[in-house]
Amino acid sequence: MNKTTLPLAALLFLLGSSLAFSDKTDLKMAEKNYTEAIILDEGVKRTIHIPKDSNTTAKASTYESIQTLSKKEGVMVSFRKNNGLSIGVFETKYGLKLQEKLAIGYYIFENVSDKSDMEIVQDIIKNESAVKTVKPNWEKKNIPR
Amino acid sequence: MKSNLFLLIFVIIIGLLNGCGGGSSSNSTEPIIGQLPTDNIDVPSIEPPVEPDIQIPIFITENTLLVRENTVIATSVQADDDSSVSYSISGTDSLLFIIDSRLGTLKFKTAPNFESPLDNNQDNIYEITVTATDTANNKAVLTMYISVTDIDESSADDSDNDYISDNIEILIQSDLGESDINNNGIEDGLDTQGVYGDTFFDHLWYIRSLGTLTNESGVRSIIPNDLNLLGLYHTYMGYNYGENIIVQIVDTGVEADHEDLVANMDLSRSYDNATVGDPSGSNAHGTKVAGIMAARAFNGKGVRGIIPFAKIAGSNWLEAQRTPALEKAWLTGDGANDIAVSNNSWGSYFDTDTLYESIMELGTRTLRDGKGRVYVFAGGNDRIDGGNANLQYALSNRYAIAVAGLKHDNTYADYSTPGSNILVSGYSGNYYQDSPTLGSTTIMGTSSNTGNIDTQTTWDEDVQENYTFTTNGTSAASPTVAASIALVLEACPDLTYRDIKYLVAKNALQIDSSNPTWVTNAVGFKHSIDYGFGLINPQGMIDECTTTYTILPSERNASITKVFNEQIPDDRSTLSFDLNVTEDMTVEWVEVTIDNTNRFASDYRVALISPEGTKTTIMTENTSPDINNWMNGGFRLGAAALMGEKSQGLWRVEMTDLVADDAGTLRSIQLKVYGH
Repeated sequence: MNKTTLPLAALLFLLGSSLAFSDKTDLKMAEKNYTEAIILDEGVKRTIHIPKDSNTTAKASTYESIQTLSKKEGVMVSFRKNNGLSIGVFETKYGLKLQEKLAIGYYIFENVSDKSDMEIVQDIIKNESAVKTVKPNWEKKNIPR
Repeated sequence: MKSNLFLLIFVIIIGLLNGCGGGSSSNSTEPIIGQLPTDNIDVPSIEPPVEPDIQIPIFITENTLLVRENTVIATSVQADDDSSVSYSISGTDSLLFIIDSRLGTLKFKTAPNFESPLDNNQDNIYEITVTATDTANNKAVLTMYISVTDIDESSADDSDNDYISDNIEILIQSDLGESDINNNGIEDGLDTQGVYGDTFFDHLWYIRSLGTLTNESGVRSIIPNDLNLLGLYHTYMGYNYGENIIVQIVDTGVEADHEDLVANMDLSRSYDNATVGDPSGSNAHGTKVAGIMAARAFNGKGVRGIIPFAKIAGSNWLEAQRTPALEKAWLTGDGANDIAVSNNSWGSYFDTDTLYESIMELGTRTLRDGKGRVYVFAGGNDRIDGGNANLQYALSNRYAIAVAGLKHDNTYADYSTPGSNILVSGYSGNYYQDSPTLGSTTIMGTSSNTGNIDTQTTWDEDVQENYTFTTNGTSAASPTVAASIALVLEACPDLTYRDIKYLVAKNALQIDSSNPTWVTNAVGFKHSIDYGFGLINPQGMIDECTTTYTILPSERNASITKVFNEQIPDDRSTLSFDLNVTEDMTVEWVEVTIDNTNRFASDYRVALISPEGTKTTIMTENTSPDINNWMNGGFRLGAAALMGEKSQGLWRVEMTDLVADDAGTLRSIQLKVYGH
């Protein structure tokens, strides 16, 4: 971390906060740069915010930067116990190809369908009660501190 | 080689036949044995039989060996062969040993005790048979006699009191009875000169503060605060007669060939993305973290890590953050069971992904033979942006230790992110232009020993520019804590990850006591959202775990969810919501999940009050990621401050809407208490 970035960051923060915490305009403006999408994480439906373009630098989620709604990299899924589901049938139904199963129980699928990852996630949430987790298998965007 | 032997035998036989005179004239010259006859002999033109050129393994290791008691590693067995060789052991005492089949490293399963020999005839001479087998299945056998020798265990671990323990003196071939080899008036373990001196050790104020300058900031005298490590260094440095503590650095990579790290690298447990091997990366961040933790001591080079003889398992996961690669690094990779502590100097601003804690849950339950790997995280550098460490599930869960950063004067660094999930603080310095920051390794040749206040990044004497004095951020604080914990685990290897968290909380030192966020809980533990329980205190933890401490009972938990459907008024008034917990246990960690419809979650201040009356602020107003409706659908906040209190009774959540405009309705609150 270099101090030379501090004054600029502080200035931006102060300018931003004077707007944000009086009429919250900047937050509302910021929201326009994102698209909402739903994922299912350990049984909890959660709204995530995906930047509309790669120029947006988000503080909102790790689904930031180059991630887009049209991305096709795959999904990760965990199932409830004794679900009776066949992975083969699941693959065929959603245009997925199993890549590996993680020790934590997640199945990593490649997206070989015509749909985007987020479209498949929405389809699975809608159709599959035996699914406990379904979210895009995108590269994480953590940063060194 | 063998074909020449047959030729020689053939010649000898011919010679002998000649000597017998059979068929030869009486005046013939008697041939010299071994010399081919040149005349009067009708030598049949028969080629000697050709044997295949076979090489069998040949041991180059001595078959007798002296080993000091309390030492795990016996030797490294080696056999010479054209092809690769695998090793196995058998024989009388072989069950007491393990051998690395590929490398030949021979270890005792348990360090031998001279006073209680375990060999078959109890004479302290262990007999084993080592078999070397090459790829053609040729075998060589070596019977080894390993004699265990006595050491004087009545003396201190550091016989000459020079801050280098005896077992490390043996390792580096120094003198156990001489405390000042240079005769310069400085104990060997504190020296910066000579073959054992760490050149820039005097600048590492967080290890040993001399109250003097550490960088070029212009601060000429600093308050002598440090981690109080010198007393520990008589005994603990990560090397216990070969039983190295293994620390993991999941980061941008670690320069494995760095002159001050290479001796400590454990490449068999390191990862280049998802592949075992060299974890180097192009970003120096991870190399700096590695130097803070475990730069090698007493090698005549550079800096020193806090645990300078720990083995480093590096990972450059941050360069390509795929989930399977993280699972390998954190949980399932080669040799994962033995990695004691994982440092993670990274994060995001806001994250609700449960993936991280799913991996850590398994890691804390299964690794270190069920005692659990200790996962340590940087708390974040977002204070000035209104950040809060509680906004990231990755470091706000009961498996993670979240770390705040301290300046040299024991106040929080300007950037250090607060949060009720912060467990402890470590040193990180502020900014190198204004005050002391941390000295460490960096990618070799990339630092700068000249320039101005902004551009000079290493000391004038760092000719090769392999080091830096600029390391800061909670990225620097986290490895000071992770390495301190590794020292504790060297002293007390039976501690579980929960014991570590408890001992961290109990022994941390309160700092900046005038800070208004400090609360004292019912068992006397002090906690602050700026500092956690205070400055990490490895000496205190070791004093306790080596004497009076008993391992915590198994974990239990209690959970209650209550639906409220009540609007929180947008008028700065405070509403209270009560939840009754019937289970009686001792608290280690509390989670509060709030489902609120207000699209501006940052309007709220949220406090949690325990049955014993301790109030901790789990969210402050104006905590603001760009997108602000993060409580809608349920957001989980962690609280560390109640450690040690009783769970049973009425818990209260207070919510206050402190920012004008926009109101919301509280749908429900879930309270989960973990403890024993």
